[in-house]
Amino acid sequence: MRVRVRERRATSPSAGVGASETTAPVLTRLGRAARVYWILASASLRGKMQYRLDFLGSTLIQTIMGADTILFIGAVLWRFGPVMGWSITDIAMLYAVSRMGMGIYMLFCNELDRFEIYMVNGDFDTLLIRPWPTLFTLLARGVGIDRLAFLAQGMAVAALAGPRLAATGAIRGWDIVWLLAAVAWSALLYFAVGLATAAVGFWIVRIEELQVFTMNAPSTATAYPLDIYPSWLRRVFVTLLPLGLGSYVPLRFILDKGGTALDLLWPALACPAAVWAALGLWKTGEAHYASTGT
Amino acid sequence: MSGVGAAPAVVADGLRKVYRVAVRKPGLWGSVRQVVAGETRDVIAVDGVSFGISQGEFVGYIGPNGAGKSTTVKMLTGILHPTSGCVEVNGLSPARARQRVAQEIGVVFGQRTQLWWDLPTIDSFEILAAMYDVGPIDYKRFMGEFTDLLGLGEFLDTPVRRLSLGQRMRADIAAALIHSPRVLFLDEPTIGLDVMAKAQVRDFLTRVNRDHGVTILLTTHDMRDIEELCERVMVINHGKLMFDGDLESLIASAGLPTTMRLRLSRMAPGLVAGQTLWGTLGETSGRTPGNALEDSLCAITAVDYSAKSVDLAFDRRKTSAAQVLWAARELGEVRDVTLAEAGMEETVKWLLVQ
Repeated sequence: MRVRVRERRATSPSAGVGASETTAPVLTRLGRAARVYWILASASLRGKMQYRLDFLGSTLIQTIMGADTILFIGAVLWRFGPVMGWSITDIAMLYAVSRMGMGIYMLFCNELDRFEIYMVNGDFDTLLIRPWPTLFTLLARGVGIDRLAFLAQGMAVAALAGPRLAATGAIRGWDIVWLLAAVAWSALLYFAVGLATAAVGFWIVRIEELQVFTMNAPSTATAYPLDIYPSWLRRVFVTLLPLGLGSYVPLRFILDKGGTALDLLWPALACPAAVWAALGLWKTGEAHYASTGT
Repeated sequence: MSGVGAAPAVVADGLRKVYRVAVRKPGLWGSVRQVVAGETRDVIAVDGVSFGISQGEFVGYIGPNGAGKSTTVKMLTGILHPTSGCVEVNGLSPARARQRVAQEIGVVFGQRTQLWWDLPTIDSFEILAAMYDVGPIDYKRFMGEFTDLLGLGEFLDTPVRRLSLGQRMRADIAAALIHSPRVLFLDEPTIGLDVMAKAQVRDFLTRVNRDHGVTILLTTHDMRDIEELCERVMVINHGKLMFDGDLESLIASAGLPTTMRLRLSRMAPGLVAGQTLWGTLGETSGRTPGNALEDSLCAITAVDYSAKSVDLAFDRRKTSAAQVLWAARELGEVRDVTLAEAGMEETVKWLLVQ
C-alpha cells in the first residue's frame, strides 16, 4: 500500500528545495493529525508484516498464554465455588473488563511498553526532529496489532459472562453503559500508568523492571476481585498503583458486591486526572532527555 | 549562495550543556555502592559556545571525538535542551518551539537512519511528505529533481534494511530535504562511505547550498569534506570553540611549513633529518622543523638514501620554492621535485595540539 499525497494548491514559488509554501490547509490540525496517524500506523503494520512468521507466532503465543490463564482460574473457581462473594461469572466479567482495558492500551500504546529501547539506543532523537508531538509520533509508529489477543480474550470472556449475568438479573439496563465506561476508565488508567512509567525513562533510561512493578504485576493482580488481598494492598491498587480503580471499583458496585454509587464517579474524575498528570511528567521528562553519544 | 547578510539562520549564544553522570566504580561491589550512594559528577559537553551563521552559509563544524560537536547539533535541532545559553534557528528557540523549528530544518545523522527500516525506500519519502504536509506538486518536483541528482531511482523499491551504506546515506539526505528546509544540519554524513559515494554526496550538497540557498552546518572527521564544501570552519575541542573563520585564515594562522620532496640522481653524503639550509648546508639544529625554519631557509625533514629522496620543509611567508630549490643544489643532482602544502588535516591537528 502506498501513501497518497493530498492534493493542495501552491501559492508561492519555493524558497528552498522541493516543496513550496501552500495555502491554508483544508483540513483542520485535527484532521491532519488523524491522517498522519493513519499513515504512520499503517506503515508500522506493513513493517511488522515483513516478518510474517514472527508476527503470526507472537500473536498465537499471546492468545495461548491468555487462554491458559483463563482455563486455570476457571478450573479453580469451578472446583471451589464463589470467592469472597464473587461468583465465577462475576470474576469473569471483572477479568473481561480489565483485559479489554489492557487490550485497548496494548493496541494503541504498544510503543510505551517498549519505550526503553528508545532511551537506550537514542532512537527518541528521530521523534524530536519531526513537527509533531513526540507522544503522538511514538504511539502512531507502533500500533500493537499483534497484541490484539488481549482485547479479543476480554471480549470473548465478556460475551460468555454477560448473558449469564443478565439472566440472573445481576446486570440490567444502564449497567451495560457503566460496564463500557469501566472498560474506557481501565484503558485510560493503563495509558496513564504506562505513560508515567515510560516518562521515568527520561531520567533512569532502563525501565523494564519498573514496568514489571507498575504495570505487569498490578495488571495481573487487579484482573481479580481485590477483596482477596489485605486491605492495605487493596488501597495500593486503587491509589499508588491504580489499575484497580478503573475496573474493580465500578464493577464492585455494578455487580452489587458493596460500595456506593460514588464508585461510578471516582474513576470518571481520577482517570482523566491521572492522564493529565502523566502527560505533565512526560513533558517535563522530554526536557531532561539526554540522548546517546555517537 | 544567496541571502548572506540577511537575519542569521542560526545563532548560539553562550551555549552550554552539562550532563550529570553516575560515578562508576569497578567490580560488583562498586556497582552496588554506586546504586546505593547515587554518586554523580558533572560532565561539561559544550562550554559557552557562541556563533552566528548567516542565511546561505556552508559551515564546517569540526573537532575530535567527544569534543561536543554532536551535542551542539542536538541542541540546535531541539533534541537536547541547553543547560544554559541561548539558541535560535530562524529566530525561533528549538527548545521552546521545537515543532515549528522542525518544520524549517532538515537533519541527517550519519550514524542513525531516519528512514523506515523495513519498508521500501520510497515509502519513507511518502510518509515524510505527509508528516511535513508536502503537497503532491511539490512532492513530484522533489522526486523528479532528487531521484536524478542522488541516483535514487535504482533502489526506491528496495527496503531500507537492504541498502548499502552509500545508498542509505543518499536516501537519508534526500529525506531531510523533502519539506524544503531553510537550514540543514548534517552530522557526519560521509562517515564510512567509499571515495565515489563521498564525491557524490559532496557534489549534491554543493548544489543544495549554491542553487537553493540552503544554510548548511556540517560536522565531519573528513577534512576533504571541509576543504571541498565549506567557506567557513569552526573548530571545537573540550566543549570550547577554538577557531571560527575561513579556511585560508585557519591555514595561515597555523603557518605550517610547505614540504618539498626532491628525487636525486646523485646524493651528497652525510645528509640527516634536522639539518638546515641557508645558502649553505648547516649543522643539525636539534629542533623541530617548524622552529628550525625561524633562522634558516629550509630544513631537512626526511632522508632516504635507498630511494634517493630528501624532504625539505620551508615557510612560504619567508622564502619561495625557487630559492629553496637553488639552495638544494648542495644536496646532490636534483632529478624531480614535488611540492605539498599543509592541508586541513595537519592544520587542525596543529590547532588541537596547541
